[in-house]
Amino acid sequence: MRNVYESLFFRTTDGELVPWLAESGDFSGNQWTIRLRQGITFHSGAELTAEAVKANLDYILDPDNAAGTQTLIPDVTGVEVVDTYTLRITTAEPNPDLAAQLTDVLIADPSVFAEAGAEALNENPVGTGPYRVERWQRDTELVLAAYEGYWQGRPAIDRVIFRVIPDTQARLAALLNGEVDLVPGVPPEMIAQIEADPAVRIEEVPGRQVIYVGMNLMRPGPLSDRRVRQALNYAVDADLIIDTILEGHATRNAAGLTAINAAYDPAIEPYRHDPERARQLLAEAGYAGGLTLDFHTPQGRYLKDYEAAQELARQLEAVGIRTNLQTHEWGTFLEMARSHTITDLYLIGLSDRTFAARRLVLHGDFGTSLRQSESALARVLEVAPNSLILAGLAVLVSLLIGVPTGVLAAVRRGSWIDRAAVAAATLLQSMPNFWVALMMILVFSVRLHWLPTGGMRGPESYVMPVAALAFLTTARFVRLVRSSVLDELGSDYTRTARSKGLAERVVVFKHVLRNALNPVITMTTLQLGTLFGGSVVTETVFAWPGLGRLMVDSIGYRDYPVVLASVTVIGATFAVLNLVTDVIYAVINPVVRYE
Amino acid sequence: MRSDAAGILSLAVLGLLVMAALAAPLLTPYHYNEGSVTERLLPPFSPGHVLGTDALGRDLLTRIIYGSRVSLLVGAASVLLAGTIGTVIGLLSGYLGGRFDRMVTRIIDAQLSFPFMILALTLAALLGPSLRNVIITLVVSSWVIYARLVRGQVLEEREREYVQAARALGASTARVTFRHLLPNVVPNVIVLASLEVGRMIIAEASISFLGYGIQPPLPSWGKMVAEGKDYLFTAWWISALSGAAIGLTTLCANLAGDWLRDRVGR
Repeated sequence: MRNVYESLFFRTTDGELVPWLAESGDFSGNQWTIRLRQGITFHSGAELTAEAVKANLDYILDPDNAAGTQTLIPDVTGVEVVDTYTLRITTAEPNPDLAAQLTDVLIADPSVFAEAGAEALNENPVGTGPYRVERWQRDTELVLAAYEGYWQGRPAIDRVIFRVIPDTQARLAALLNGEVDLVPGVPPEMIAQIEADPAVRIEEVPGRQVIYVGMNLMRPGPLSDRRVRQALNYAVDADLIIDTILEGHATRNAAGLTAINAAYDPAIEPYRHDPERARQLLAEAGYAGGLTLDFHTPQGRYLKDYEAAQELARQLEAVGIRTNLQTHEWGTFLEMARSHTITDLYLIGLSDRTFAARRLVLHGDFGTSLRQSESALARVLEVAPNSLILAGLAVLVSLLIGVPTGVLAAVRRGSWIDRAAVAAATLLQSMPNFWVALMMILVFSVRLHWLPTGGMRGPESYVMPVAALAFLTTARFVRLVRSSVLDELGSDYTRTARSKGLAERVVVFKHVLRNALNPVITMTTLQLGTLFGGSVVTETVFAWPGLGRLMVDSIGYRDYPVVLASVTVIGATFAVLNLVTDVIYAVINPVVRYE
Repeated sequence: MRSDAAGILSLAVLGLLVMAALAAPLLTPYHYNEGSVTERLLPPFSPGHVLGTDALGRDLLTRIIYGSRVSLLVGAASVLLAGTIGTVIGLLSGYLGGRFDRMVTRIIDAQLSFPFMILALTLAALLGPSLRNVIITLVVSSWVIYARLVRGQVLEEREREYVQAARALGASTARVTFRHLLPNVVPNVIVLASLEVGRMIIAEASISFLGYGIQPPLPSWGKMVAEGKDYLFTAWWISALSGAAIGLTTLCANLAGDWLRDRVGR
């Protein structure tokens, strides 16, 4: 975002607040006078003027637009243009913090959104930043190109490609394979292994995110007793978690602010680990026999959240606090936080950016989700072809391998070929799909560096997803064709054909196959339909931008319109495929006639 | 006979698995959630941990043994419940016909036109993650297969002489369906059920793998594959061994099912 859009003020990585699109800002009473830099242009060529900034702020402030960013500048009451490059912002009360609050307000070209609304920016993002958006494929990649007219001079790197690789291991494999140049979030236990590669360097910067366990005090229960809350603190050994699970790549914080914050007080000591004291406090509070609390945690949102939560639960249990641990996808977790259905304890991170950012969290509004701002059906239809390609290729491969193998196995019944084919089919059918997929990644990407771990880029990225899907389908075809051919071989007409003295080859190819392959047609269309919508696990493991993954994500985010649209599309596809099957039958087999 | 050998062998392995699941506390000195984070990610053949430890320092062998409880319980319970419900509905639908039958066939057709995993996943997400809800999800998603099989067979059997005779003697609907029809459809139901066990075990693993199934710290094989996924580089054995356990169990269930089918002669 910050590569495309910029804000009036900016906070550098050192935490310093500097003017950015603004040249200066003066504050007196409840008014801020902001002078803009001159000569800044949007990617569209239009100049950045006070008028344009006012249009941005007015759009945010207009309650009709329900802009989530309104909570960033809650007390702004009016914006007026003084001259081309100067504007005056009025706040309800004197607000010295406004410049800091404005660091999160990004300025876009008003000609894009003034008429069409902010949604138009999704399709046509026009800002003043060093890069303009060249191409964007949701959940797959974003290509940025250098903006020639950037006010600080053309950026040194011509094109920046952001690739979406949700899985940490896949991301690192992509780095080590040389597919990508930069990845964020290296898990601590892998640092040593990655540093061993001379081509890769790891940069570590102190984070600003404070991970803590919150307690819901809005509900009556044991947590309303101060001694229970203290006991929880004494029971926890945060240093142990830092030293082991995080391998020392974290620091202990006593409270919600980090060392970069002006209000940070290093004199505050964190609770020490004292299980004995915890038990004592619990006994005093009347819970000598222990108690049970719910403990919610998002999974995969924060570094090692899942492991840390389980270890915390174990530490609490050691002093007699049993927990019902519940892990949630981030979307579900967020939804529960919004609707206040999170009970007792919850693990969450707080980004300590500025005072303004804290205000945002206290307001409890996380902004409108981008996920919902687009038609559900459009999203489904956007990714459906990707799934269709995958399903089509997998079925094709399965047919090419499965049908000849099945025929051969049936014709040579009882031979080693038959036994091997049946054994292989049974084996393949019993292996869980996601496991086979993971093991392929382990061997071909992590160990051998032959194939990319995921994504849909170039022919080699098709190999593993297609193979993973084709395994099961091939096994089904082998079994089906084998038994179907065996049935036909034992039928009367085969005996007649043989007794006429026809060569076995002719019997098999001219007579038997023609009849035996009928069920194959049904199976083909059925499998096509199943794989089209049902390759949920494979698409997730290989980060394939298809229907299955969209549905898993949507279920996680409780985005039911998308789930419903997907289900409808899948249902319609099934119906069409059934019709196609019937038509094919009628064409190849004259006995079948439909009225 | 070779197929007999394979079938009996796989039944024996399944039997061993069931015994291991029941006797888990006797087979391993650890509890499934026991361990220290200071002993995390130990490789196989470490002292005291034959198969190594996971990301929280828990003994992997212990978790695989306890994990068999979840897989076998889910496999058995969902097949038993779905089989019973599906059979009863299929019997009534096939025998009674009329509006009830039309309604049931509608439901069967509608449900079978969606991929099984999508239906199961949506249900699991709606119900919330827990062992009980996974079983409910699998039962709701799979009873139609039994209902379709039984209904089809009842339509054939209904016209047979023995049913006509029973009706002519004034037997009630309940008596005809459960006393006369049921024994004739049960063998096929058992064959189908035996083949469904493997599918249900894999389905539970997939649901748990995607995060909508069994909750930690309870070990489920699918969940353990997912947990190991974040350590493929550093500790591949977590995913590899847990997945192998699923594969072995499903393979045995399928081989036993095949063998049963050949014996029943379908």
